[in-house]
Amino acid sequence: MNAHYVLEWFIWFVFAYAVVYALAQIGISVLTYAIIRRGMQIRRVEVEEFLLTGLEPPISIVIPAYNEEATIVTSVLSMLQLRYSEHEVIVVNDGSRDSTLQQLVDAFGLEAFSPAYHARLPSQPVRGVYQSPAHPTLRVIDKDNGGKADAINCGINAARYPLFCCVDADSILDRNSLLRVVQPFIEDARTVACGGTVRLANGCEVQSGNLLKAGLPANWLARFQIVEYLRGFLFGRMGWSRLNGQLIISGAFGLMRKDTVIAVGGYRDETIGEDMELIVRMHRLLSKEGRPYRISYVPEPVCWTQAPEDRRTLRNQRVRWQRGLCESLWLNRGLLFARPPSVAGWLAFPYFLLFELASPLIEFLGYLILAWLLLWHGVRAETALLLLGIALGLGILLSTVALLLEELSFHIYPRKRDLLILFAFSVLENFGYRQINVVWRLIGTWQWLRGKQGGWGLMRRRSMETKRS
Amino acid sequence: MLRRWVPGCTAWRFLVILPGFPAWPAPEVTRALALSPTLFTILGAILLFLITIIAALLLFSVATRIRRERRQRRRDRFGARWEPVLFGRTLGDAVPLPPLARSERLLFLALWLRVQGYVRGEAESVLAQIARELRLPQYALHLLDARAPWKRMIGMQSVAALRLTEARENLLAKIMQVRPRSSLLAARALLQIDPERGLAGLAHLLNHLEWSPNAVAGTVQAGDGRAGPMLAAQVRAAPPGRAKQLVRLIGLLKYKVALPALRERLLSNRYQEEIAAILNCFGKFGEAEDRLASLAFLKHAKWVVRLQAAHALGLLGTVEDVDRLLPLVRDRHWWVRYRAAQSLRGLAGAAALAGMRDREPDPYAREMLERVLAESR
Repeated sequence: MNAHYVLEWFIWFVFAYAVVYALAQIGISVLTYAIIRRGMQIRRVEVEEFLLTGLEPPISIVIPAYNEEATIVTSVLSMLQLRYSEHEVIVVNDGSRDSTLQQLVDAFGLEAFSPAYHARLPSQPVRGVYQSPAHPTLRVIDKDNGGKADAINCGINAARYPLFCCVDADSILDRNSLLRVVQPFIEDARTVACGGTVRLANGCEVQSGNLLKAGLPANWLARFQIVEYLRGFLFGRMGWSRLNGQLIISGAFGLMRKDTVIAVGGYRDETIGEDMELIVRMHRLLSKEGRPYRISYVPEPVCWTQAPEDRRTLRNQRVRWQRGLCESLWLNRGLLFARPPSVAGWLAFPYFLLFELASPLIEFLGYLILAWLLLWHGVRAETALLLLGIALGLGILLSTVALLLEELSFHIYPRKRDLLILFAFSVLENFGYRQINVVWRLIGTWQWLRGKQGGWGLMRRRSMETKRS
Repeated sequence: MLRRWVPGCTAWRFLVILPGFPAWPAPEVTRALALSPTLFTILGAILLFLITIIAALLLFSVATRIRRERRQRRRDRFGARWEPVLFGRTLGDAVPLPPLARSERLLFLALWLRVQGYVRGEAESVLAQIARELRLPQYALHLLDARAPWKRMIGMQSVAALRLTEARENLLAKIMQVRPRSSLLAARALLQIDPERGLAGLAHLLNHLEWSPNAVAGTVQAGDGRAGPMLAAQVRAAPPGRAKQLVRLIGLLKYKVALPALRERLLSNRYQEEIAAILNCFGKFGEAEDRLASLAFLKHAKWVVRLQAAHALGLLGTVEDVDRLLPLVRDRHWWVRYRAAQSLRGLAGAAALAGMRDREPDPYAREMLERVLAESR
């Protein structure tokens, strides 16, 4: 058989792969729509005042921070202002080399004290603990550098309450976010973890840690990411949560039962995608024990975070995400087709393996081989364009469905023009942005194969506060 | 390799026609991905279909946005018309009621329930009177059987706020269905209309539903105070080892009326989690007579029980109990040491605690006393 026939078959395989992927995504979007519709209807009925009954379980918010001097004060202010019956805020300064700790000391008048600290999860040594006389619910733990997972474990050790909420230091939360995200724990005692929709704060108006008005950023990379987040959060997570097959709760915002996290060993500090790894491990260990559990998701946009606006930072982020995905799936490969059967092991895990982990390699080879055949084996340009057009068209279709779901649910961006701009970017992302993402993700896979170790990763931050003229 | 590949590249074919371009040897072109005309047409149709679908979805999104904005304007106008009326009436003004179209009844009930959430006492009766004047009770009863769950939710909240006794059977039937959200809402509504039947329904739920104490506590709280005796009776009647959740619920709601039942349950109880839950209640709202029971469990084999006993003594104990609590700051379990030290601080005061720390030979106990002292500074 000629080599070009093999390549030709591979092109057909890639084409079929793109179609199956799109169909799977559309299937998930149908589930998502059902959840959104129900959620929106209930939201219409629920009077927000009724949500706060005073019987909610108390929550410890854990904020791991490393070199976050630009955003940390805004984030902590945002956390302190949350509407909830009882919560504490624990900032873990993971040996920052910048003025993160000093910023906190200055802003909140922190004083050193010796608190109750019960080390149930291993972490690097604690250098000191601070509290604020003005904000009694705030504590800051200063520790030796050990990575994000290590910092969260340290925060869990210091947490006083049965539920803890892990929040990124560059995030701001909606005032009702804790009230929203705790509802699955109140409604269903089996709930062990719950995530919420994370949105991008770029382009939004932020004052004193509060998000005043949503808007689109001027930066093109950030706009591409808004489309990606809509697709990723509205499709990928909500649909799976309905089936109890959700494998990711974003590290930017997630509420978990402390005893369950401690029972499964806490966050793993040798992984780079510690948030996903923990959830996959929870699925693996809890389903192995035969323990009834639920990992839920609330569709409301509860957390706003900063997206990278320069190519280098974005590249680092994507490379890290892909490495995290590879590590999480590999370390928990025992979940694949594990008994007793579960949606996580028999459906979600294979899906992530096939469509998330393998997709950059398959897509990259698809482009490469199509170009090869075009140049050396006389593929008619119209045939190549047709196949490419369908593959890219499916991508645009998925983005458009995400935009529609957004429109049917939360319609965060107020102007009609925003909708059209986002649509334009969902088309444009297929011409360059998508391909470069494929390359970055391949680099991530390669780094994982080479066994590169994790760390905090470089993230260039800006203050999230909107400057007033 | 390059010599073979470069001439083989079919793209060169476009270049050889340029004047003066050196002629490469003619390549042997093999047509890859050759599609039959039928397949080509099918794929072309798929592409066209995709483009059409994308355009249609985009148009639908824009149309949704326009429709939503219109709906929002309508709601704003409705709110602007009715809110002053509702608030005016609750303040005692004789504001005339504007006409309410049939299509606006659901919108009105949603607004009416929101306003109900903000007012108390006499104002609630005024709002109920307005709903009656607008002939909404019948509509609220009708909503109980609506297909959409959110309409049923509005119905349940409305009949509860209107205290419609005609809804009792329907609500009880919904409780008996044992569906987490809907049954709890129905129980909440029935507790408001008919506390006795509501409590019976709630008892049924407690026996049949894998419920979360927080959710049930929210429902019970919505009723009147009669739930306390009912829960106490349930605790008394529960089979051995099965009252843990009920006791936690009592603890959440701080029902003092259930204390006698808890004391009875504690006598000759062998179930550690139940004992711990009862001691936890004592630590929250126990009375002086529970002190002796708490003291009895300070040396229990299970650490959770010792922890709760130490915690309860923080509330119920006296200075005389300090010597009996002190060994617990040397307990092998961290949480027991912590709670014991906290209770000691409460009973003896910070100065005495500092003295205990200085005299303490055990380094773990000393560290714990030091931490609790630091926390109180």
